[in-house]
Amino acid sequence: MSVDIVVPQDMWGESLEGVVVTWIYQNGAIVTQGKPIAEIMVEKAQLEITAPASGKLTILAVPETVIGRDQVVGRIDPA
Amino acid sequence: MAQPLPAAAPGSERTLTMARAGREAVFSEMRKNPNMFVIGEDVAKLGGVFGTTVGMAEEFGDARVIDTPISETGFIGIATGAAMAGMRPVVEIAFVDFIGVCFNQIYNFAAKTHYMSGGQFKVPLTFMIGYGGGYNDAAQHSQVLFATLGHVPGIKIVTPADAYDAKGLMASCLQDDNVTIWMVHKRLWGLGWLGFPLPKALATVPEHDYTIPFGQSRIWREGSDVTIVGLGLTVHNAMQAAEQLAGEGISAEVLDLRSVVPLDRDGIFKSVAKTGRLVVADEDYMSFGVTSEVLAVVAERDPSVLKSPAVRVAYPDVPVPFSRPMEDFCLPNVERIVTAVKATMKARK
Repeated sequence: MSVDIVVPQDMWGESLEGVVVTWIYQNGAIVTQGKPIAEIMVEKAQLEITAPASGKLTILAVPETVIGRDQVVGRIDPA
Repeated sequence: MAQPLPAAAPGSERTLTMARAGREAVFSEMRKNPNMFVIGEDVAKLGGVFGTTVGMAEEFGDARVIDTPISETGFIGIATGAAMAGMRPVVEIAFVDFIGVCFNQIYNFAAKTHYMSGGQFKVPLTFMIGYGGGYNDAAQHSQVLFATLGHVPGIKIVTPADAYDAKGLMASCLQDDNVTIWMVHKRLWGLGWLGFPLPKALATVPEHDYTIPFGQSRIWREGSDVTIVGLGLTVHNAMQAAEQLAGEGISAEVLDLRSVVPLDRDGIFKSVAKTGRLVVADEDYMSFGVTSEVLAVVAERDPSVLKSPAVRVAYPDVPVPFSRPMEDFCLPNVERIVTAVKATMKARK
């Protein structure tokens, strides 16, 4: 079953938006649950998104994409 | 040394920014060596102005990751003394410009103690420093200062141009028993707010530990007509220039110095002897700088290898202007490197 990679609701304050800076793994890479997979920036602060599951990564929000809380930025499918 | 981990599955390697790759080396050495600590402004709560220490306070605690007041002379004095007493301090100075505040501690104490004590005291002190301009931060937040630091005997200076080198060179600095400076151009950290990561600055970085020796340059691109020597961000400008020149039939070799001190004089001369032409690109002030030292290598060894006069593309000897067009005019950008290469191709002996 595929698992969405979602920006956590509590990652930053309500009125702000974030931006994807870089993905640590390429599209299609095999990632491990709990490991950092992407870096995002909110007002000069760096935050990271960790893999919600192990499996094959599909990137939906490429670097420089503006993102909001709760947004789906990628997906992980069983490898 | 930690055991190398199994290699990642093909296509599943990590691609890291320079900030993340550099701090990975610090994390690793901090875990191995309880005498190592990190000190500087905003290194604990913030995780470093440029992200060099993110997560360290959480893992190592406030005795080993120390936020200081804005008093560089104080905390660099502390670090120098601690290093002499057997600790291994890692000091962050976010902007190289502020080295002026504490330069006495660095060039009179940290750099000279090993020599003046007849080798009785080592000073295993590593600095993490950001440098460079191109983002309207004016004359006191945009400098490079390689030459200012490199001129003083007793300090090793490295400046990686991609994430692989960032980790390996940082590990070499941390393992060295005397003063080392690991410097990264602000455009290369890969943080977003200083520009999104340059594709060629991101690199595949293994999880296991490795070092890159001091004084070993790296050929980023082979060529036969001209050698473009760069370091840090100017490597990326040189690569773009080389791609553009290739379209015009000029084959440029791009050599990344990686270390300012020690300088890879053999590597420089070997490349220039092969191509016969030389352009040096550096964002530090031109006079008495890295560009001059690179030219001196060729002049001292055998200037007859040059088919045309060498050209320096460096910062004019003026304070960095705040005005964007004026700053852009001064930077060693792709256009200036291309023009310089063409000048070396036209000139004949």
